[in-house]
Amino acid sequence: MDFNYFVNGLTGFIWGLLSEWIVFTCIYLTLGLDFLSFRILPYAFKIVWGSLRQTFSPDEGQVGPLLNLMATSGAMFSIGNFTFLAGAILLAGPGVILWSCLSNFVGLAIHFTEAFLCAHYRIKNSRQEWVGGPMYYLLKKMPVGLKWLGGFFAVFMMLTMFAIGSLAQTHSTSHALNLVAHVPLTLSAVVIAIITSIVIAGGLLRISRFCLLLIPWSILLFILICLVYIGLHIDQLPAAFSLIYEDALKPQSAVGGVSSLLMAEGIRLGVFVNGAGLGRSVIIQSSASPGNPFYQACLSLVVSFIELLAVPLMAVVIVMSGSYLVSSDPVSIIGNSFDWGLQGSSWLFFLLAIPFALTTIVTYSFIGERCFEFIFHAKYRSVYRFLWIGSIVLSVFIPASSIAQLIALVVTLACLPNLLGLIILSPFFFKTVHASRQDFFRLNSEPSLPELS
Amino acid sequence: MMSVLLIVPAFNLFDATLAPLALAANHGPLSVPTVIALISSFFFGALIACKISLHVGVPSIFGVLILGVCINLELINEYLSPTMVEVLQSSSLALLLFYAGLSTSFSKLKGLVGFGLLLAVGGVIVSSLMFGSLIWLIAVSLHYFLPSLPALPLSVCFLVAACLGSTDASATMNVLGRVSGLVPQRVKCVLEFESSLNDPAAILFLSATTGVFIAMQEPNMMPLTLIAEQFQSFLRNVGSGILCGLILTYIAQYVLKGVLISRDQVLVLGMSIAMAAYGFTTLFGGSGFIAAFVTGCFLSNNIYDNPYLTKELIEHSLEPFSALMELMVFLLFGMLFDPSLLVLYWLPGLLAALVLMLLVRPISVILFRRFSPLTNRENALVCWCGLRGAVPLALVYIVLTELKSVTGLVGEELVVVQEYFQALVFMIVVLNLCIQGLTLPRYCQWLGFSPSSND
Repeated sequence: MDFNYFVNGLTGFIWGLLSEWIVFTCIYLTLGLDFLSFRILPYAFKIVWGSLRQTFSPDEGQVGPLLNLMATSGAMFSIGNFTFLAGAILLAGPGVILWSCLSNFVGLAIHFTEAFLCAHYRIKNSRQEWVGGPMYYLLKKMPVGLKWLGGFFAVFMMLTMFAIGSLAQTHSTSHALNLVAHVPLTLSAVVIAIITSIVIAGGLLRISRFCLLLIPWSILLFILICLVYIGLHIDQLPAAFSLIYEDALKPQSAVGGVSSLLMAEGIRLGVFVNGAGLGRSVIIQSSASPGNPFYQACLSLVVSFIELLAVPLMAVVIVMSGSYLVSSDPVSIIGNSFDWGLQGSSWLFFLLAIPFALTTIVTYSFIGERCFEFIFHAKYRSVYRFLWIGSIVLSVFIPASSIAQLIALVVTLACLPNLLGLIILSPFFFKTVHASRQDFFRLNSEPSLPELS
Repeated sequence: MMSVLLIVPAFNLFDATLAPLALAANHGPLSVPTVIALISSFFFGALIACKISLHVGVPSIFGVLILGVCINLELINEYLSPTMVEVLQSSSLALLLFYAGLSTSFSKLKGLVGFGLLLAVGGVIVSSLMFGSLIWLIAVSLHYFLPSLPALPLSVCFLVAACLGSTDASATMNVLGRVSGLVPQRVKCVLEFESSLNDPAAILFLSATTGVFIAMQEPNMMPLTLIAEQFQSFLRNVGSGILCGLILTYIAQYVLKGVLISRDQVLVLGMSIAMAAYGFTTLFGGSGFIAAFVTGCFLSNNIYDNPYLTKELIEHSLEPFSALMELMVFLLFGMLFDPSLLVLYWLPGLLAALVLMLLVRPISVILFRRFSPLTNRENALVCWCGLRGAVPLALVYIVLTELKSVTGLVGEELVVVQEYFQALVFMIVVLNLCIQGLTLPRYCQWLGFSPSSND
């Protein structure tokens, strides 16, 4: 038996279970929150919008609300989202979009919970910076026999960050540049490494500013492009919707419960794209100000909701173009659908891919760094940064299939302890939220953040 | 006919039993009033049987079982379709497990939770493994000496053992009757806790055993893949069961808080939650019985601090219904069981029952004695308090449907094994209830428990 067989088997083994468990956990948390994760959305937007101009004392966190929002979006939006989306459509058909949207929608509760718990259990490290994340609440609140789950999570989260962040992003960006502009692979990898090293040397502040520079216009431009494409072919829109709908509800997926390929694939997509249950962007949020758990939960809701709207747009474009029927490679599917939208516009995709890839690399490096700090110590972070840069350069020499295998396995292993933690901590969480929601959730007045003791 | 159905409180039972009989009414001599009169007399008979058996000193359900065997109407056997039996058995099992979950109180068991858990989960595993191999030894040696008895495959032996894994505390308390005041409170607590917790443990062990033996039937696949597949489905059973249980707990609490108009409706809620737990969870690929147990457990141990919900409210509302279900499981098993099988299979049944009482249960208790906070005298009492109740009998019909894929047998051989299986479980349960029931009070006195030792 070879190694590949083992890795694939293990991934399939855990995924078979996890895809259902994530949905159950999402439903459970949504019910436990009394659907607060949906009802609170308008207020969340209001609060986050209102906070953007405020300044907080540096004592509360390394970056303010605006930079926090940018860095979180940088971690949430990545070009990998779109390639995973194309890959899933390729594998399971267009119906996967509906299931992934549904799973992302109930998954809002998980984002809310994670962000809340992370902010609630954040601590100061030896450099007087706020640090937090699933590993901290796992370590602090799990029963005595299960405290090791925090370390387990941190190890696999760090590996996930290496796999998705440095390896996959650099790999696909450099290969795409090579394809479009014939840039040598090593050259693009070295350039990305240099940019990354400059940005991550400045810590979270410089990372967030870098995101502020790139993220807003990339997202807007991306949404605009998708809308323009859909607008140009508006006559095909009903057909695409009915295709998605019919494919999602075709008999083979309805029979056999949740475990059908289509739904499992949709949910897996939800986890990869939206990070539901993975707890990655919340690690950034817990270093930011203000430290109010409700605020961070709202911000997490806002970002995931924007993503929830943006990703299906791309999916609709792919389905309308029908490019998933002709090509068998995720990147060329997206490129082809851009070409379909407007002849000869596939370069736009590669132009957009670069800022998304860069922000993902730097924000993921920060997330991985926090996990590294948790496992070792804050004083060794230069070792970690060196490893990160090294892996960027090396990534072009690793075959894409190995990277994909690695990603699938480590994401799964990072997800498991976090889910368990969320379920075990849920009674405490529900109690805290419901105790203070009266202050927060008033229908007829200006929302205000409750203070937790 | 509909109005008649509405009057009957336990509509589930009656609806299910009436439907096939109503069919008979169209074809045969039975009219609807006859059927209803018959059913009512069954229940009257069951009540009388309970009284008589308690008077004799055996658990009340024993009488019901025997009554069922005595009725054994050919007609009913003919018109009770296998699906109907399965529906009845599964729904009553779901309700029994829900009730077991409701009555599992972690708070009452101060300092004994660890031992109770160990006795329930470890006890089920150890005793089922040991019991399964011993039944196999008995069956093989009997086959050697008496060729008329078929040899039983190892897989079936383990299934018998797994079916009989769960104990029934209420039967024990039932027998102790007069002398129950002598039994120390903490022994009672351990017994109750064990008996409610080993129901799901036995079901899990059963599904694991079934999985292993089904896997062994397929020669083409790689052993590692197969084991992984079965292990995955086992984990899915447990994990999805627990998660669905959590979700349903929340829904139940919501209904309890916001939907119910009066307290009388709690019974309807309890029933629908138990059946929803079984039905939906099984559809979604989890173990419905685990979900029912977990739902009951969380509802009673109240993880949300809900002032509207008291454990007693649900427990008391469901108690009569659970009693009815238990009664029905026994009655139905008795009615479906063919007593003529005993002519052939009484000897292995007797030996297996003796082995269970004299070897398996004491050994599994003694094995965990190191961790036991009880005194030796109390442990000795626990050894003899392993009465089997409704859960094993209800499980029999679930296992019977799977025997084909587990053993890989077909046709005549399969029928023989199924009959052997039923007869073994029947004999073991009957002898267990009878022998231990009759001797328990005396044993209790012999151990020297007096009212003064009661703390």
